[in-house]
Amino acid sequence: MIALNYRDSRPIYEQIKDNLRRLILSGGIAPDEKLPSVRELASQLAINPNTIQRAYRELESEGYIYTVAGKGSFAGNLHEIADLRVRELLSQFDALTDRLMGMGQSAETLAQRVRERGGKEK
Amino acid sequence: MIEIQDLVKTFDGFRALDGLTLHVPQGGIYGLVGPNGSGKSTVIRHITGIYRPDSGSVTVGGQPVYENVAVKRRIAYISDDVYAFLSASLKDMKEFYRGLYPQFDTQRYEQLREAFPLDERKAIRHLSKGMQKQAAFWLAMCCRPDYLVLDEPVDGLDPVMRRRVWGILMNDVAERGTTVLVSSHNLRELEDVCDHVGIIDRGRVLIERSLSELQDNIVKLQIAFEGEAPELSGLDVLHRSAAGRVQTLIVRGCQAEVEQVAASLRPLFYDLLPLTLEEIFIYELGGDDNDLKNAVL
Amino acid sequence: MSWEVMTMISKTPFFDKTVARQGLKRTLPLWLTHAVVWAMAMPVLMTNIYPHTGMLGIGYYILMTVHIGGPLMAAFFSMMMSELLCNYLYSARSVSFYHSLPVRRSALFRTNLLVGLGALLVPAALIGLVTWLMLTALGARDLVPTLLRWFAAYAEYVIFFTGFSLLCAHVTGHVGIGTLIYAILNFAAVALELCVRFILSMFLYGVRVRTELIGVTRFLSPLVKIYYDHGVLLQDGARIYTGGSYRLGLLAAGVVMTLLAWLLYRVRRSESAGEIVSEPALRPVFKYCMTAGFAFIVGVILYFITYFIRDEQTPASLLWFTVCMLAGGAIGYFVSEMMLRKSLRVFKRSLRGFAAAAAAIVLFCAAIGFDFFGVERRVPNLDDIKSVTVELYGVAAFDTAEIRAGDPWLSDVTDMHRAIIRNKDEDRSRLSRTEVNDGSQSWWDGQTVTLEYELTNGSKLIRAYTLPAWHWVRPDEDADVEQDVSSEYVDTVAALCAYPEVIERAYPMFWGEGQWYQTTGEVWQSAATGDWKQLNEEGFKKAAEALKQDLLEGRLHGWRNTREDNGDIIEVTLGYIKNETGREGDFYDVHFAVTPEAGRTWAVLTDMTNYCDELKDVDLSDPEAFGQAYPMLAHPDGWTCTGASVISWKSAWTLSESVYDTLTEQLPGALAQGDVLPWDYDMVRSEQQARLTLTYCDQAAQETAERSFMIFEGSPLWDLITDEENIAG
Repeated sequence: MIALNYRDSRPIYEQIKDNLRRLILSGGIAPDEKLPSVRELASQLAINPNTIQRAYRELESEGYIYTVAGKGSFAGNLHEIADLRVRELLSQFDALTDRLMGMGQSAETLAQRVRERGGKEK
Repeated sequence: MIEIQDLVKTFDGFRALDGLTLHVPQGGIYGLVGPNGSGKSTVIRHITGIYRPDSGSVTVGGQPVYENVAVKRRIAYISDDVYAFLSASLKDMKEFYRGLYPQFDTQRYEQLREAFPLDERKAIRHLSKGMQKQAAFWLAMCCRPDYLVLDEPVDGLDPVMRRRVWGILMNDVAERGTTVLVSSHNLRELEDVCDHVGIIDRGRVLIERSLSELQDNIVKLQIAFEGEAPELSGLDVLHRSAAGRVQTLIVRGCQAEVEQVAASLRPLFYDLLPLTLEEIFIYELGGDDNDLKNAVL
Repeated sequence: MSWEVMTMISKTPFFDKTVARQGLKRTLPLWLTHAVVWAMAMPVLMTNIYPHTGMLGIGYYILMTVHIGGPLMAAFFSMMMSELLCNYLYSARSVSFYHSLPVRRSALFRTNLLVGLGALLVPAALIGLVTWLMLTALGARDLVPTLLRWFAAYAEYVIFFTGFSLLCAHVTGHVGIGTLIYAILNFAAVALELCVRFILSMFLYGVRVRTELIGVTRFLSPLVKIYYDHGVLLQDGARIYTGGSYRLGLLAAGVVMTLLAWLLYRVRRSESAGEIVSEPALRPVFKYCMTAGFAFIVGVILYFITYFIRDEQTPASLLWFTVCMLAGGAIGYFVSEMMLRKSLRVFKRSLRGFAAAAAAIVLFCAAIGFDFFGVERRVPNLDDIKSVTVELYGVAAFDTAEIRAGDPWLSDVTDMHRAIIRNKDEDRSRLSRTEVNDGSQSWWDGQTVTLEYELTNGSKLIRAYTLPAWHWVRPDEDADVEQDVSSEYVDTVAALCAYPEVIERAYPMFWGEGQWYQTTGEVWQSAATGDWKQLNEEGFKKAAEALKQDLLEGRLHGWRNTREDNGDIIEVTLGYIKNETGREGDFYDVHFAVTPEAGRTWAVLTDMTNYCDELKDVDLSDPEAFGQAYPMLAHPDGWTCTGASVISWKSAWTLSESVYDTLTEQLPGALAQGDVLPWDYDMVRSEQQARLTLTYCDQAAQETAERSFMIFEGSPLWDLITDEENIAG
């Protein structure tokens, strides 16, 4: 289920995280569905299990998955995930905002822009 | 773990290993990378108990290896040049290993049959080099080793078989926590698999790092300033190059920190890019050792 | 440490089954061939010949197989096994494989050792067992001691050659070199001794190349010593294989060499695979052994070839010899350097090392050429001499005069010896020139005098000199050559040969030393009459007695002194067996050329009653012919049997009176049946035959007649004549 792009220069565990995140959010992996074990995934992808272990750990701390001792890792609740997603996007929003402001865009300009977009929605 | 301390080995006046120190943590997968003649195979032959050190220590699991049957039973070795007895088939070699390795798992042997399309009755010497390697892997995995030492393991295997072999290996590592030492002269192919890397040249280990250490702590920063570029204090710069006003900096530090500092400098723009292992090592090795870099990277 | 690891350590195996199985598989063709050869030699061959040899004979042949075949089989197969089993040490790939396995090197060594020994000895033991079963089934009894001796001897050979070959295999890191070293060392002592003797004989006056090797050399060359010195004998009624103590020595040597090989393996470095010499400390040993070996062998060969191309009269050249040895040594040195360094460019670096070797060679040649050790000048002190034999052919009836410590004329020998050494140059020039005086020519004919001293310290000193012996003269061109005078040396030897004690020592059988039994006395007339006759028993005794007297009176001479007057010469050869109790004896012949001057002997030999009656091709089935040829058997009443003697394969005895009558009764029947034959004047040719000689006296005419018969094993008469109860004395 996970495809790695070898030309992608990002660290592998990041690619795995991204892949899994996308699958969970899009519904490709249903809530509370069991994820492949570290061993299975390492074997399938021919990748260091420690790398996969790390990806799972970070996903868990980000709230996308949860682990039951002895049973494995499972995809989290969609609602909670949705919240997490919003939170993540917002932090990205903040970072972007900072950058734009750092490049000379004023807070006003940015707020205006947001409002315009919101108006279009209606 | 595998621990080598100040290992010296001389062959007829030639100092092949010059006080080499190397550490493979328990359960880790360590890639030993170096050009031809750097001493990789010599190190490996010490770990597998073939050579006796002139001085220094070689321990596996805390025990010295040389002539230590208890330790060697837990080590499986796949050499770059597969050896089998004259006219011995895979089946014959299986029986031989079974007699010597108490942990030999015949069930695993049967399981792996699906993975390797080999005729176990055919003489190993008559197989192609790639198939000989596969046979070697098959047998090594069945020994259920706690330590796996591989010398140029996937040399001669096609990409499909390579993937399959690494997959099987990773399965065992995940399941049993096997400690692995892999030697290669190519960094790229070890990137997915290793969590520790050591660079060896002329009988010494120059750098030894864990992958996470490397990946988390080096960042490529592209930054441009309007007018004069300010002092880049607060940034541990390993390397700097410039094209026009755009500077490309290799900075030591974690991504978040670097981003903070960069932003605080109020540049025209900045961008943080990931680095490949290759690039990391180019900068870590530093200096003018271009031969080494060309050979390894 | 977990308990698993602890128990694993304590279970370090003595030897590894898996590796052993692999070793056996790999060497299968070899030990199988070995087993098949022994199977052919033992059960198959033995059961085939048993009907012909009987119980006593079969023991002899069983032990002969291990005497003739044992050393060669053990030497060859042990080396092949060692080479194959140690083969993995000679290539980097295989030695890496084996030394990375969880097996200790000691266990690998022990496994190879046990496979090497077991694969040869276990089948041999089984073959011995099968032989015993098969022969016992055929009726043989009491073979167990013989077969145990057979196996023990073979085991001793195998253990020795296995230890030896393992040591050779471990000294090197290269395929085939171990075998080469082994082959060379097996004969190195012999080759070296021959070279040294050749060298000594070239430069030292009187030292010659003998045919027999000295004790040390034989001792160090088992394959030579075993065939020279050992054999199968009959002793105290049982077959034994001599050389048991030497074999125990071989066994001990084998064990020691195995331990050395083990030691070498323990310090062996895996990276020595492919090197000619595995242990760096042994490299100089290899180098200097090669240098010495080549210096001797190539040096001697070079000198031999070039020397014999030159004029034989020119004396040996020390300088040229030194050059030859230096050349040989150089070849050996640089070839070994090339082998060790694996490169052809060794000359610059190793010249200094060769300088040392060259100096040693020059010193050696000088020591020999200038006789530093006084070998040439050495004449033993009278007190140190136990005995000395002087050999000079043709002077006396016998060739070797034995002089012992205590003989007053011992000093004559040492004086002569000193004179020979003193006169070296003069004698040589006497021999090489011809004197011409007013048309007459004269020259000296040379002969070899050999002196062999046996010293009180147990060693021997042997010298052989070619000395001017006889002076020949040709008075003028048309005249015949005449023998003139003899040299002082010949006169001295002739005088020694005249002493009665010396004569007695030359003919112990005449003076009854030890137990001597006469066998056949053969007489030829000279070329003039060409008759050949056999002396009968009485005639033999008389001839011996007569010869004894004539010898003491100096009436019998060597061929140099004998003058054929009108072709009147009778040549007589008397055969004897020296028969010491319990052991098989040896044959001895003495030969004389008798002239009428030896009056007593001449009288005996010209008296026809002393000869056997000639019975030519008697038709035994014709009663009349039989009666004529064997009257004492056909009509026994008129005859009394006065004596019966038996000569067997290597033994002789007389029979007691109790069997005379039985023999006379049974002979006609036995002759008719064919398991007894009239004697055809031939020697006894195997263990299954014996010659019976019966002497009869004709009561009426008071004449004695002698008849001899050949009796074969299997005949009832055989048991009669070999039964211990019937043997006299």
